[in-house]
Amino acid sequence: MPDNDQQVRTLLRDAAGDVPAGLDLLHGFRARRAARRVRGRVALGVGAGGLLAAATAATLTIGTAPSALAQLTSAASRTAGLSYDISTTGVNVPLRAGGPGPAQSVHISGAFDPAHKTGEERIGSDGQIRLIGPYAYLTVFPVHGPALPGDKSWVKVGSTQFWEPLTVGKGLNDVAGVASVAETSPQNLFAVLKSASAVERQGSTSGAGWTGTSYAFTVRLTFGPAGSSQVAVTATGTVGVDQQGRVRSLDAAYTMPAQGSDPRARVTVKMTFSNFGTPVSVSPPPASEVFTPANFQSGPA
Amino acid sequence: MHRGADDLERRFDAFVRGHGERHLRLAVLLTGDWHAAEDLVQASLVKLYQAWPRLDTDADPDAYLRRIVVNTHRSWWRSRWRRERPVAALPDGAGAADMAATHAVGAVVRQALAGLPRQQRAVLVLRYFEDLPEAEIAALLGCSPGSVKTHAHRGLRTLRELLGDDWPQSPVNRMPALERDRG
Repeated sequence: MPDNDQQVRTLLRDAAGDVPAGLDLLHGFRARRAARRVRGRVALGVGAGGLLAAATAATLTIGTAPSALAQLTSAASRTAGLSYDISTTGVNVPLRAGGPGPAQSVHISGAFDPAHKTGEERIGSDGQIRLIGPYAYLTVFPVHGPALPGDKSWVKVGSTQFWEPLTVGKGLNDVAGVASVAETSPQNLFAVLKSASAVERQGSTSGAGWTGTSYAFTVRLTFGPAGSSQVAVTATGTVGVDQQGRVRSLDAAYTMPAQGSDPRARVTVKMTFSNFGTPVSVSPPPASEVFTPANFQSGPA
Repeated sequence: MHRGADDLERRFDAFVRGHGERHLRLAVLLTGDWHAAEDLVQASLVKLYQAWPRLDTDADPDAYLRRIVVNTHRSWWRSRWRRERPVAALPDGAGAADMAATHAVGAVVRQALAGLPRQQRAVLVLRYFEDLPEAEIAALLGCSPGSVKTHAHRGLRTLRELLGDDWPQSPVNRMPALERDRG
């Protein structure tokens, strides 16, 4: 039996050393907190004559089980804090008066590591985004104005828009083209999911190597800075959450209104998330290939 | 949610991610099993979250959360005293032989700790795991420094009796590096 202080310390340290894999305090905390808010709303609604209860009846669950919204919020929060691989297929079908036009599709694959603010995505055959701390390096999609000057093939901007929730003023025009913010900035997507309405638990679902629960949702997406050019659409879709409370799949669809020469279009997005917890290491492109816009200050946006 | 609340939320999340496991380990020594420890820490995090906006920038969230964990465990223990009582000897558990070697040592010691009276257990954990001085332990537990010394002495003696010959003679089963198995 250990006699001295150091031996006792070792004893206790060893006794607390085998933390089971899969324990996620933040996830459980959020579910517990969400359940508390639901119970609080019920009490408030009863006291206010039922008006509040009626307004929130669609998402209330009486009792200790978190609501579908709470569970989706918890899953979105949890996944947004993990590193993961992502695979996305986006399809854009122009809706013309004479009938739908030819579909444009894009496949995006990549990995995000929010803890280290690193990430990379390959968009289509030659588009790339590399996220390294406060900076984002983009190719194919020019940020300010037309083609990049000289032989530069990358543009350097701030990475804030990729990590922080969408806010008015942070234009999604910076990543134009078929790919929308939902496809190239899943961190924003997770934040948007937390504001979803009409969330309903649908039942069991599964994917490659996982089983879980499916949730249907409706969410409002806003594109572009505030003003007449801002576009707001309503997206509907389903999210698959695995038994560890992580988002594994997301399917969504919305209709983009006509903008300039772009016709009205139906956009569908299918995303899968996998390989959680693996750190993502990204290297910047060669400095000689990088263009930094004059209106991009020395610090990150 | 306005930007100030966003910052608070982010700082809270970062704190939990960076420091939560440390408190989880404290909690498992107090409760004896990981499920109860997770429960205890998450309940404590809810209380910490409520106080989070009021914490001074100089405040030590770790110390604050530790106090919440200890106090919450004490209130839980008081409401469950009929189900949790100190035992004179270790009950026949699942058997260390049934567990992986790396977990066996931890489980045996946790089981022994759980056999201590609550106050003795708390003193040993705060003294030898958290490395707190006697005065701070006394303040946390609401007793005198003299009582802390007494509880520590009796706790070590009881732990020795409970572990007896089951305890390895040398500390060879060191736990692996404290990294979560991600995947």
